Amino acid sequence: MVSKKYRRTTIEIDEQLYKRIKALAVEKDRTMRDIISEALEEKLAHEEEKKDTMDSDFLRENPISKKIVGTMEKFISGDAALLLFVKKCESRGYNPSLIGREMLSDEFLLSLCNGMRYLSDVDKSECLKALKAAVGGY
Amino acid sequence: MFLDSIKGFDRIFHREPPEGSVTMVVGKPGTMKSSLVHAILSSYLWKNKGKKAVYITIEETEESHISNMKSLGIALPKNQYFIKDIASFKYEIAPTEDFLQDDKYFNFIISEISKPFGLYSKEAINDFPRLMALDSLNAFQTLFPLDSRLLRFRMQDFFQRLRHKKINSFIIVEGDPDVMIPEYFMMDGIIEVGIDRSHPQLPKRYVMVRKMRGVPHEMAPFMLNITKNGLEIGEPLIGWKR
Repeated sequence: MVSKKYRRTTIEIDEQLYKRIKALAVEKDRTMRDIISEALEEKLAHEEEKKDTMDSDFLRENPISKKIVGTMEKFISGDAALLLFVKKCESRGYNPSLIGREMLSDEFLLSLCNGMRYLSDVDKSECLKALKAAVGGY
Repeated sequence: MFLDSIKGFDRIFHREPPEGSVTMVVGKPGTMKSSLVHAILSSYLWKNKGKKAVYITIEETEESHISNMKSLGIALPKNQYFIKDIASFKYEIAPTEDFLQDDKYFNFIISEISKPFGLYSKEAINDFPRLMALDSLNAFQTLFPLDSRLLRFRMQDFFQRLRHKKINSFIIVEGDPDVMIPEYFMMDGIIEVGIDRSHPQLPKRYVMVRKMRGVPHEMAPFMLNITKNGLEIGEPLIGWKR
């Protein structure tokens, strides 16, 4: 088993909070260090998870958006595909979670291809074809 | 690669640098750093039809690069040479200030830069470009509010991955070549470009190899000439002064 390395640090915390941590440590028969470390671990994990899902929740909620972004990822990075898709939706007043096939005009899909053009050498017509195929031709 | 690119590099290099070399091209503003790299890559590609290069521009748009190259008589081979225009893409997505200050922007840039080469991908990519240029390291670094040691660590990792995949890379840096920066130590090669002003009436552009691991090379500055066919390496400069 790998033992954890600890680093000594000094921070100031609210006195009442200090007392509560101390009381909890006594109650659980654990050290204050363990209680504080665990609480911080939980907080950091929560924040990281929040950050990861913040922009991409709609991909779980909407299969059409997911297919389009997935196809874009063949040509540009996942981060860039997400950014571009969200931006193009916003500029048309679309909510990426509520994208329907009727919203996917050639003009909208071409705007995605035009944006991708800066980052990929994909041909515009090939790009449009791939996006249409991804959402079933419609 | 150098010997098979613009005319006159055989005056400087006695053989080719090893594959996967990361070479910095450093010089003050207006010394033709970008033009030299475009010229090296494009002339190599014209002679090697199956090869590909990606030129990543963070500050200047593709349109501006193409127009500059045209004015110098440098033709970029269409199906082999791709300019990844992060400058224009940034304009396209109009990121918010929050986004720019976040690590997400760094991740986006790194993902985009590494995408064509599959540097961080678990899937093997065949036929990836073996040549890459990043213009510029200054633009890249100033975008990120990261701790400089962390940024340097990530850069080092990035360069290591390029070497591992045997991608010959050019990293453009704007600055005084005599002012040491930590990135100098990460490079396999350093090429300085500058303007010799020993004769103020007749300033001359030069190229000087300061370092190139694994290759015997000349240390003197050589003239960088603009001809109707693009750039060429000329005679060594005599009586040169910085």
